[in-house]
Amino acid sequence: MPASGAESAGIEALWQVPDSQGKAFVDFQNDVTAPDVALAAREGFTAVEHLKRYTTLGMATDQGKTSNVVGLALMAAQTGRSIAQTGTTVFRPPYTPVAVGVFAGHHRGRDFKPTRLTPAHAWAKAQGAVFVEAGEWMRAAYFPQSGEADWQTSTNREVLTVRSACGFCDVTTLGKIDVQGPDAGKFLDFVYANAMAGLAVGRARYGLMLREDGLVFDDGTVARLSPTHFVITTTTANAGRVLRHMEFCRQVLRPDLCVCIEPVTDQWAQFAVAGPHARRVVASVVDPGTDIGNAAFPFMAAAEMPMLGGVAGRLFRISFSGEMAYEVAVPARHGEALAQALHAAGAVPYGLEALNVMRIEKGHPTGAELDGRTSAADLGMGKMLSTKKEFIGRAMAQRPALLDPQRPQLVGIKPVAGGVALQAGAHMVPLDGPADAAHDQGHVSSVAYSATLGHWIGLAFVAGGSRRIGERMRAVNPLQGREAEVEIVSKVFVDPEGSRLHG
Amino acid sequence: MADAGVTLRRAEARPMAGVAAFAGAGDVQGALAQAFGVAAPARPGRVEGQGVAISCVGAGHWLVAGGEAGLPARLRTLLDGQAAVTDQSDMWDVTCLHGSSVREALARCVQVDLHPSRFGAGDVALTRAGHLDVILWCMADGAVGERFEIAVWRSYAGSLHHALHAAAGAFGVHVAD
Repeated sequence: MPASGAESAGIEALWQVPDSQGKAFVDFQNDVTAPDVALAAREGFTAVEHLKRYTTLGMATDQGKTSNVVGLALMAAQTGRSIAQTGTTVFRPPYTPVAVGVFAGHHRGRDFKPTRLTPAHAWAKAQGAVFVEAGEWMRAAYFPQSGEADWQTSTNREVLTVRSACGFCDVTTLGKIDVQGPDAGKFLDFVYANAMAGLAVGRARYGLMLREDGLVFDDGTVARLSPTHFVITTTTANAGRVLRHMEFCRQVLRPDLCVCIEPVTDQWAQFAVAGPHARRVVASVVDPGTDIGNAAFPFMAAAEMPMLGGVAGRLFRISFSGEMAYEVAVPARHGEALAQALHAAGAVPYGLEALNVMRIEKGHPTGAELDGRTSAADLGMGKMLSTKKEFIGRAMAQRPALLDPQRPQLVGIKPVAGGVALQAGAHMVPLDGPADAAHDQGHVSSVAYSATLGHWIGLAFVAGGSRRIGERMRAVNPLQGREAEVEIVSKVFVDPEGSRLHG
Repeated sequence: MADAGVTLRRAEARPMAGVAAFAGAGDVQGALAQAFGVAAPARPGRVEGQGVAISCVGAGHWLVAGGEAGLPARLRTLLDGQAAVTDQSDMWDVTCLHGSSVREALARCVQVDLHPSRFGAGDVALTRAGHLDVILWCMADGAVGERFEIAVWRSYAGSLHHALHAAAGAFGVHVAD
């Protein structure tokens, strides 16, 4: 082995090349130079924490790991101290390099966005349901039967079954909030745009909630189970937001009201049972001795009652499909048993696709229409805004721009030529003239093939639309180079008199 | 499984009821004390009395669990006019955890300080685990040593179990019946 001399131990630190004429960078990330350190010393920023803040030395992404020692050495030289005497700035973690994945940990994929399953999920899966994500929830989109080639075929069958016989749909995902207290009615009067305090015990009502700015926030149903006890539903998507909003109203805006609210979505499994045969099906799951006929339990009735042999359930006579319909709720552990019982009684399961087709056939708004830009009047619900009470959004809903009759208003559309498909997102322009932003008069929010009517239908927001029924326009989709001539019609396509609701 | 650091067991269903006191309307704590012989805590904590556990889960807010199936109805009668009582017996999925590495495994998933000096028997935390809102209890020691329970809304049960398995995986997980 070759011998080496002792000179290798004679090294000393060279912090700066003497007499260099070029720029002498200390911190390559933040462009701090040796003269910057000297200036800091002259200005009196000799403490390391001051040096750091005056020059930005060591503030870049490397947190000084490539620059601090040099900078501190230069400051030591400027002030006649050792580096140790000059000191170091306080480190912040991580002290050593850490792979970004460590910060993420297990919070990725399905662990980053949790999945919610309804109590009857396994039953629906066993029935062959195809699921779709609805926020965190997995909801059955449709239930393909043998021989059905695509979702449209299955959906058409499900729609026609509900309209001619009976279907049932898992609506557990709707947010459910329990509202109790001597002032519960007053509180609901405050958060809903329409009147609630006068709702009779044993009755339910559609409820429309506005935001403070007067635009529509959410909708759902309000049922009164006792003078001091209400149960409300929210849309699936807004369940958390509505709860937060109501808790804010309760604690901050109306602490004078004696009321408590509690989210109870997960306590209940709930199914919509709809169709001309719905009463017979529901009667088979409700315990004997309870009359659910039209006289005893009319449209918009609500009550607690025993079902499935002694289970304390709830029954609501509400309808989203336009058919005679009930919503049946049982404590979640009985959800699968309820699905089995409804199926055994002859009801056919239907999914989100069929539900969506039927609500479009009835002109009911959902998230595509309640998109945060629409007023109650835009949706044709302007008359629901009570003039007899104070409620959130009342003042701002009266702003002139929101009362403009030329605002886009919700209407129905149907293609003039049979067999033509419509597309959501298409823009509404006059028959003549260019299809450009200057001639844009609205957009199509929802479309569906209506198996009931045998053609495509849609809901659209059209400028001054409620006064343009019968007019023809073009629904233009420039992205795909497609357009369809459509007629503006009432947004209620099926049973506009609502006679089917009463069975 | 002898070398499992963490044992998970899904708790059997039990009656559960939420109690939310109406502000300035009576003495809910007094009524609970009279009925169950134990003072309901005013801050996050858990006490047991006459077969039920009472956990404070918020200001003027308690979760009462255990006892007979009629618990929610009994509380409704007991607290009529003083508190809103909701039946939550079907709302929660509860998992019991124990094992030599249970604190270390839980620390990987919840955001509260689990040092025994900060979170011991009778403590309750409303916190997050795997992006989920959970209630975490530190139970009294049992034959298996330290015990915890964690509750999540029923629909999230699968996601929470997955997160617990991921957090405890490195220590060895045993799923008990």
